[in-house]
Order: sequence, then C-alpha cells, then structure tokens
Amino acid sequence: MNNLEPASPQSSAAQKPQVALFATCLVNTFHTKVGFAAAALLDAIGYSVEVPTQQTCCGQPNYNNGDHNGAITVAKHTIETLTSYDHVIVPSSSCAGMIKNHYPRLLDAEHDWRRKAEGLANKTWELVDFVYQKKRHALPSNADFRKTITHHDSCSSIRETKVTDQVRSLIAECLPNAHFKELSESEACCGFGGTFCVKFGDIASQLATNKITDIGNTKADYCTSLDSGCNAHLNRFAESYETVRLQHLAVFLAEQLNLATFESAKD
Amino acid sequence: MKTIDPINTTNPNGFKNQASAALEDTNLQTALQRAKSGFIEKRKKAIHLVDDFEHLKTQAQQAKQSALDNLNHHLALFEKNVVASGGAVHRAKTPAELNQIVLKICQQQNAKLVTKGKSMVSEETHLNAFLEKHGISTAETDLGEYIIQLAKEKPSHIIAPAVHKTRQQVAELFKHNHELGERDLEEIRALVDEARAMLRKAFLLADVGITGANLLVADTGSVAIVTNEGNGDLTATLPKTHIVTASIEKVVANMEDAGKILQVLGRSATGQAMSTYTSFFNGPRRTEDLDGPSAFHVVILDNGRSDILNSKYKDMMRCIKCGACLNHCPVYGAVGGHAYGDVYPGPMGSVLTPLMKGIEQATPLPNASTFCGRCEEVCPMSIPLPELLRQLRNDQATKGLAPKLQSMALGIYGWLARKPRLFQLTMGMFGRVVKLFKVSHILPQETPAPDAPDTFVQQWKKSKQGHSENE
Repeated sequence: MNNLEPASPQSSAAQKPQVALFATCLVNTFHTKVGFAAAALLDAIGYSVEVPTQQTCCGQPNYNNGDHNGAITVAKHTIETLTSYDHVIVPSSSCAGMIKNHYPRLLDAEHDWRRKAEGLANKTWELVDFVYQKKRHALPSNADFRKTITHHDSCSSIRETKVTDQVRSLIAECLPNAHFKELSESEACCGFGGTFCVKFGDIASQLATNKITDIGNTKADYCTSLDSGCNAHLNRFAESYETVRLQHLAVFLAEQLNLATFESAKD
Repeated sequence: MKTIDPINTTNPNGFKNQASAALEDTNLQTALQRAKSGFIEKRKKAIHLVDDFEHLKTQAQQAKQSALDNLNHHLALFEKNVVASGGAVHRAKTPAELNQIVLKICQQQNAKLVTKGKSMVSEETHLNAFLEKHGISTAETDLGEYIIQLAKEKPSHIIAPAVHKTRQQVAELFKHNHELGERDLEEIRALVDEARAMLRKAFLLADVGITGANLLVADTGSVAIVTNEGNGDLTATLPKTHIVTASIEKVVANMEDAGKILQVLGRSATGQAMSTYTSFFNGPRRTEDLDGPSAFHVVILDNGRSDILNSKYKDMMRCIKCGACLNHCPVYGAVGGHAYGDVYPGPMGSVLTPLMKGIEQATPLPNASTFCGRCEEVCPMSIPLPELLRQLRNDQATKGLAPKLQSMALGIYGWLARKPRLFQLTMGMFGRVVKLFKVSHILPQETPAPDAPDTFVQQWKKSKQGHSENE
C-alpha cells in the first residue's frame, strides 16, 4: 500500500513518531482548512503527520440511516486503511466516536473483524483529546490574545469521545489571557444530526436558531467546536451572528498560536 | 397562526407536517420553552443532592431486569397475592380486551360516573371514549388530565399531560367550561382551587375509580401509585370499586425492589426525591378498615409487550415512564408531544409506537432524532434509546420502508467509500458544485477560495509533492 510509505518532506521526520490523520468526509470535501490546521497542531507537538490516501468516510451516513451492511463494508475499508498506524487522529468527535465506540459493535458478528475494530478503536483519538493528553506543553502560548471565546460542545464530544474539560484546559493554557464564557445550555443539541438536518429541516433550523441565540448572548468574539458538522449546520445562520466567528478549535488554535500550516506549501 | 388538532388529524406517519405546524404554534412554543428548563434544572439539582446517583440507577435497573427476566413468575405471584387479599386480577392481551373487562366491571356496579387517576395504559386503549360510548361518564382527576379532557385533547407528555398549554390558555378553558361568572384566574393558585372545587363533586359522586399503576409488587400483591396531587388516592379510595389499569412490565419482585425504582423515578421525572404521595393499595377494604373500596380489580394489559420482550428491543421494557427522555430531547422540546401523533411521544415513544402499532405505521418517528444521546444519558434505566432507534431504521430499510432515493444514495455512497480514488474525484466535484452554486449553508465561514476546489486529501498530496520538488 503506497499510502504507508513515509512521504514527509522533513528530513527529521524519521525520528518523529508518526500519526495518521483521518480527515473525515466533511473536512475532506468542504472544511479542508480544518485538515491543515489539525496537521499543524500535530506537527507542533512533535508528530509526523501522514494522510493515508486510501481514506474515505467513517460510514456514519450508512450506519445511522439503516444501511448496516453498507456501514460494515465502509468500516472494513477504514480499518484496513488505518490499521498499520500507531495512532489515528480524527478532527471530529462524531467520526472518532464512530470508530471508537461503534465499529466494534457493528462488527460484533465477525470475530476477526471485531478484534481488528477493537484494535483500531484503542488507538483512535479525537484530535484535541490527543493533543491535550499527549503533549499539550509542547504547544506555544499566546498571551496577547485577550478576546472572549465560547465553545459549542457537540453532542458527540460530550457523549461519544468525552472531550469537554480538555477543551477548556487547552484554551486556558495556550491563551492564558483569553476570556472564556460558557453557553447557558451547553448540553443542548444544535440540530445537525447528520442527515437529520436534511430530513427535518425546520426542526433542525429551530434548534440551530436556539444555539445561535445562546452563542450570540455570550457576546464572544469566537465560538469554537470540535465538529465540522455542527459548524456547517450553524453556518446557515452566519448572518445572524456576524460578530462571532465560528471556527473548528483546530483552526482557531492554529491561527491564534501562529502555527505553520502545510496549506500554503503549494504556493 | 397554525395550531395542531391533536384529536383526529394527527398520526405517527404525519410527524413531519405535524412538527412543522407545532413550530409555528406560538402558544405551544411558549409553553414548551417554560417547561423544558424547569424539568432539566429540577432533575439536575435532585441528582446532585444524591451521593451516588449512578449507584441508585444500577440498583433500580437490576431490580427491574430481574423482574422482567422472570416476568410470568412475578405476574402469577402478584395475582395470587391480590386474590389472597380479596381482589381480582384480569389479563388483557389487547386494548379492546382491557376495555371490555373494565366496562363489564362498571356495568356490574351500574356505574354512571367513573373518576380516573392518570393512566397511560388507559390512553393506549382509549378507555374514556369507549366508556362514554357505553353511557358511562368519565372524569379525569389529575389536574393536567382534567385540563386536556376539558379541551378534548390528548396528553402531550407522559407525566405532564397538559404541558403544551400556557396558563392563559388554561384560564380561558376554565372560563369557557365552568359557569362561575366573572372571576380572576391570573394566578396558578386560582386555577388549581377552581379545578379542585369542580373535581370534589366528581370524587363524591363516582361509582368506580380507575387509576394507573407505577408498580405492581409481586410478593405483597400491592399496587403503587405516585402522584403530586393526591387525586390518585381519592380516586382509589372513595368509590365502591377501584379498578387498576396496568401493563405487564410494571411488576417487581418485592417492596425492596419497588423502593429502588421509586428512588430514581421521582428524581428523573420531576426532580423530587419522592413524589408528594406514594400510595400502596392492597385489595378491597377489610372489615376493620374505616374506608376504602369494597371491590378491587387489577387489569393487566399486554398489547405487544410480550413480543417486545422476546425481541432485540427488549431493553425498552425497562422503561418506568418517568419522562426524562422527553424532557431532555431537543426534538420533543422543539415540537412537543402531539406532533408524534400517538400516545407515547419523544424518544421512548419513537421506539414504542412502531413496535406496538407496526413499524410501517410510524416510519418518521425513529428518524426524528439527531442521535444526540442525551435521552440515554438521563434515562434512569439506561435504555440505549439511540441504538434502538438506529435498529428501527435498519428494520425499515430491510423491509423496504426507507425512502427509495435515500436507499439509492446510500448505496452509491457506500460503494464509493470503498473506492478511494473515485471517492476523492467525486467528492471533489461535489464540493466544486456546492461551492460554485454557493450552497452557503454547507460552507464554513472561512469559505475556501474557488480556485482551491480539491478535497483535503488531494490538496495534501499536492502540497507534499510541492515540498518534495522544492527540496
């Protein structure tokens, strides 16, 4: 598999521990900046980032819409693509949760596959959790940042990957003079729900409006989140909260910490 | 302003339109907003006051599960002990059977008026309408049930039936239905007092009292009812005949297990360590008793529950009808209970309705969830509601009940997701189209420049090649 060849441009890469970045379909297609920011964060804490070219999707669209067989084949493809890496990093709690919590269940009936799924589950991390748990002290800090931040906890970061406190701590350590303000209903769903927002557009809009109002009430300059799905959904209402910038936490940190991203390399 | 007519026009398959109407109903939205924050805050506080709520949950779940694992034994024991204390137990397979049994008992008593405590089982069987058709008047005595009976509606919540109504709507309803002249009904207190005065007459006149049951205790033959208004007790003890309508999964082994479930029920439902009244009814009055009914009947309904217990959906039978999943569900919170079009709304209803009515009778309901997972988190019985809903979606697809376009799109997507090169090309093109036509809601605020239409994987590859060439 050619995707396993070390393709990193840095000569020092051989000494760095390697991680695979599983971008997720939303980041891959629309929010490509999140992928580069994730790579920048991982690079900044001393990891060599590999983006396996065989990667596609975690399979949630099929899994959550009644196509278990389709989901199983996508899961097997993803397992085969990622299984040889020591760590697999996912810039989404939703997709990380799918791999960590649902793959083993989905493949329960096939013993060998279940074992492989568990193996992958154990070494798959949500990006911010990985950065925080492994090497947060390696990140630079920016004491000049004095603006107000709020954070939208996606349902999957609350319940699937449990990455909530880590976010607050990481922001506090990297941006010690930032003012962090909690949402009043931080556990409320924003209404994205994958295909839910397509099937029940008006309910999803109502829930997004509630969330946007909550975000707006904080008077924050930035609202971060760990899931591009929520961000894409909430962005439908971008006009109604023009003073707040809604960003994936990786993009926000990469920008505020002035991390070099590989994005500009093609220029 | 649109409003939903919850009586005749709603059904589970009409969820989408019913939900849209609910979102436009300003009174409903006001009522829902008020109720939601109250329920959530109260539960949170009640749970914080307990040292280890997880432990209480585990205990309660074990109590419930062990009763379900040996259900027939416990039901038989319950029946034996009810009979021993002078009562009677009747088993009803279907809603129609339950209604017939209740009617027969009422007719034997020449009943003209029946008072009723809250019973979701009687909602399942449409008992009131059935009795009325046979010339027996019914008077709901739970305040919420009383309100919706006046309004000729159905409950929109399993523990707060009239939660969809604002105080102002209730005041109007009372003024319209109670001929009491001009009066001030601004305060809740005034509404409660008026309802109480109206209900008192019914309590004293009723020939039969019908209540639900929160628990059936096998080794004592007791029926437990929790209320906050005491109406259940007056319904059970004042008339000559007390009929309990219950369902099979309400049985527990003994008082100790009942206690374990009660400890999580009140906290999960209303944020109370214990509801104001927790009453245990044991058979008819004994010769030495000063009051109580002279006849005591328990009618136990199955209505598909045995089948659910023998299926992959058996976890659903642990449900103790606390309503916590409704109170924390974003979808229920947005549209209320009537939109679901049947007796049980919210996450628990979205599982129960298709299982009890037929999966094809309620296809939107299992889909009406964002899978946020909060229902499972707050469920005192740890019922994996999102997983059960996901299973139902799978059953729909397997039975060809999913929309054709959806199945086709998923088929193509699932196939593409195993063809990495084609996947990147297709997603790149898809992204390009979306960006070109500015389908703005999919795009991030930092919209990618139109000259960078590649997928992340494609861009990454190019940037790596760029690096290699520069070296």
